[in-house]
Amino acid sequence: MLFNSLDFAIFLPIVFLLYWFIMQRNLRLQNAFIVIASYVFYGWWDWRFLSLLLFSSLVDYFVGLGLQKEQRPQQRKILLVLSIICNLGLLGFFKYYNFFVDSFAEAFSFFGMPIQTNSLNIILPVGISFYTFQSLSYGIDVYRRKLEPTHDVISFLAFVSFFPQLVAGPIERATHLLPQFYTKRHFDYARAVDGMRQILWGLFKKMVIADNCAQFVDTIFNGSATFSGSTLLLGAFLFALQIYGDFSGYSDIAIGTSRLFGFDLQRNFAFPYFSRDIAEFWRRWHISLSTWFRDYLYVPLGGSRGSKARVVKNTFITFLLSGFWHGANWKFIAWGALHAIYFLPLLLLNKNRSHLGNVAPGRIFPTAKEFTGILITFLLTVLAWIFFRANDINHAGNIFSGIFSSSLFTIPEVLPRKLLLLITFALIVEWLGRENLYAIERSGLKWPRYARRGFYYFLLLLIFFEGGREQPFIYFQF
Amino acid sequence: MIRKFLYALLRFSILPLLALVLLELDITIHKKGLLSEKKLEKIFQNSGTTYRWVTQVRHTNKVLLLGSSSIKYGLSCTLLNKLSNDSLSFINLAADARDPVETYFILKHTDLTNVTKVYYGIDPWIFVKTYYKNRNSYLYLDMDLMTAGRYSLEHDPQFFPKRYKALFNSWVSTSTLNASTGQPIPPDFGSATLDKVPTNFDDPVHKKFQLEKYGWSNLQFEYLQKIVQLCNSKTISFIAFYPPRRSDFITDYHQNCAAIHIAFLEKLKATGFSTPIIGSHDQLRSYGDGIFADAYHLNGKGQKIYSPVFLLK
Repeated sequence: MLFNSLDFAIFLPIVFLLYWFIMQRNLRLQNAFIVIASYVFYGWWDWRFLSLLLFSSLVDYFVGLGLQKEQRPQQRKILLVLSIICNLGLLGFFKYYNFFVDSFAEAFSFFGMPIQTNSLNIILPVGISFYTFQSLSYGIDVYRRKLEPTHDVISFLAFVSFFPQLVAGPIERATHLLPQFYTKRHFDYARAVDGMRQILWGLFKKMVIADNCAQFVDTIFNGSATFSGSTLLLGAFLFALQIYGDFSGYSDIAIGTSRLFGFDLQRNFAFPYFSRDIAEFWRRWHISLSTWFRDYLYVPLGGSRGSKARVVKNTFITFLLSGFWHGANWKFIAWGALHAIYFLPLLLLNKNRSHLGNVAPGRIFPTAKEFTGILITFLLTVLAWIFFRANDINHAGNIFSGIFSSSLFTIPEVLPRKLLLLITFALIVEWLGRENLYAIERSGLKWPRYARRGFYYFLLLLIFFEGGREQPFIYFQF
Repeated sequence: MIRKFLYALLRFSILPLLALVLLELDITIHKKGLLSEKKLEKIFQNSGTTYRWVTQVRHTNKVLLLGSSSIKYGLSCTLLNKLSNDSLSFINLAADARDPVETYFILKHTDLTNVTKVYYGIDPWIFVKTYYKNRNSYLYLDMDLMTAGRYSLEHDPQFFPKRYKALFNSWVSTSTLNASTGQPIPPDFGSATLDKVPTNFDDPVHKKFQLEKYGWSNLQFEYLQKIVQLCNSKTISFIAFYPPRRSDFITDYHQNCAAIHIAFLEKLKATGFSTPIIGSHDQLRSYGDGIFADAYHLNGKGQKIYSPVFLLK
């Protein structure tokens, strides 16, 4: 079920009303209802894959209980490995099986030993990368004794399957979300209104920015051989905005929806395109995944301790795996590698933590230095996104050679004027709201009520009239 | 608290809901005016100006080919001219998904001097409201609210934004004729060869009608009749014809669309259309299916075969 679909527009009010009017009296009932609603939400796409969701959840639930009982280190390690094998096994089979088989076959034939392989026609279950990581983090946290395992299976199932963030995150930590299922939720008017506001902004970013960009991006990338360098660069620029609008829009809707039900999810985006360097970008982009890799991969590898060579190695491994997480294709690995290369100079010069706060705090305009940093960082990310959007590595290579040609200095063949105007509007709103949790969190709160409402109606009008053709969320495929 | 929230949400929703009700009322009350020839002309007049090049074709015996994609790709003007020893000059004004409404305004705004004959390729599924999704979205004003709701769910999620944009267009649109002149005569005088698989033709033909849900488009019948009247007023002969189809289309059409076809002919008659329709869907059956790009369209080879057959008829 897509957030931007009629199905969800019907589903959400029904679940909301039942949740607050019928289920509110009893906590277990409320949690059980969330599980049912979440399974309906997921099963709407394909009910057969509910078993995977249930399996992944139950494995970690029982592993958690086992870890609590078991005190012997060796046995505890076995339980943890069991959890890792089950979760990554699911992910490996459904997402990476064909990639590995095909890559092995290609490698063997490269060395003159062609082998016969059988690729399988495997459907990738929506959201599998998200919920397996979420479930996995629970097992690891319990193993590390950072978290007491839950004995309440309903709460645990609700934690793993919570529908607002089930299929595309934010990837929640059990330490943050699970305790919220232990306490009774009370309806909070201010929180619900804030949630609605965040949903509105998320829908705007998704339907007005991302979906409209998608049409131009598809045209440009699908016909990349026929377009000039300037058009290809414009295509990459539009894709950067598409993926931001799409994914951060999804996260806003997810967080806003959760607030309607009395839950707080962690922040997933913090205005990443206003970052002054790549390190800052990665503290602001897909925060729940970056921190997941930091806590469960980078730090266990040694993190920033040890020699420079080791830190560089750890950084590369983390970025490469982060790229690989996005999909079974070399292009994602190349995307991760490119970001690691971007990151390297900052790491070697110990400047990777230079920009921890907001850009231009308390000011309307950034300084020239800040502006230059933002521009360079944005351009670097735009170039990296080419790997992400291209069909494969070769396609990306062709696009790069198209961009870095003399035709880069010509007028683009495709010039979406109206879309550029909408993007400018969105960027201004985002810039003005960059010190908040999301762009319009505090927009117009000091205005007269009619003006504030007028602003919301204006956004609604844009969503209604300028919303692009309904597109699935990009991150559903990961 | 939750009641306060729901009440606030309701208050916030009243204005947009009221606006929607008013827009729908306007469409319902002024439907006739919105779909009048004067209004439609404003929407479609620029289509006619794209055919200014017709004036540049110097011949005393011009023949226009009209209709949708099956005519655009089915007949080659150059070949037809050659086969007629240049006694006729064929001009193809057909285009993908083109309907009688747009065709009428094209004819109205095209220089018809020395045009002696007009051939119109008939595709019955273009005369239904289901087909509106392939047409100018102004035609979305030609649906009542209930049908519109269903159509939005089944065919076009963007139906209502397009419908209201069309309505706003009718309020503000002024005559802004595209005054481009000196357009070159296109290769093959507007005909083209199909070099890729056409889109929007995956469904079997009987699914294109959905008459029980959306019904016939009276506008299309009305404007076909207007085309005939326009031709008569300029002493141009009007001839309607069925283009050839592939065998699977013919089987489906015969098995599932017989009643629809009879209803189509009756609707034509009811709107005053009395011209006989020449040709048949299976006129090229003996050549096999290899001359078709899909069930509806001839490929390059088919175009070469059909053009002389068409001229002989």
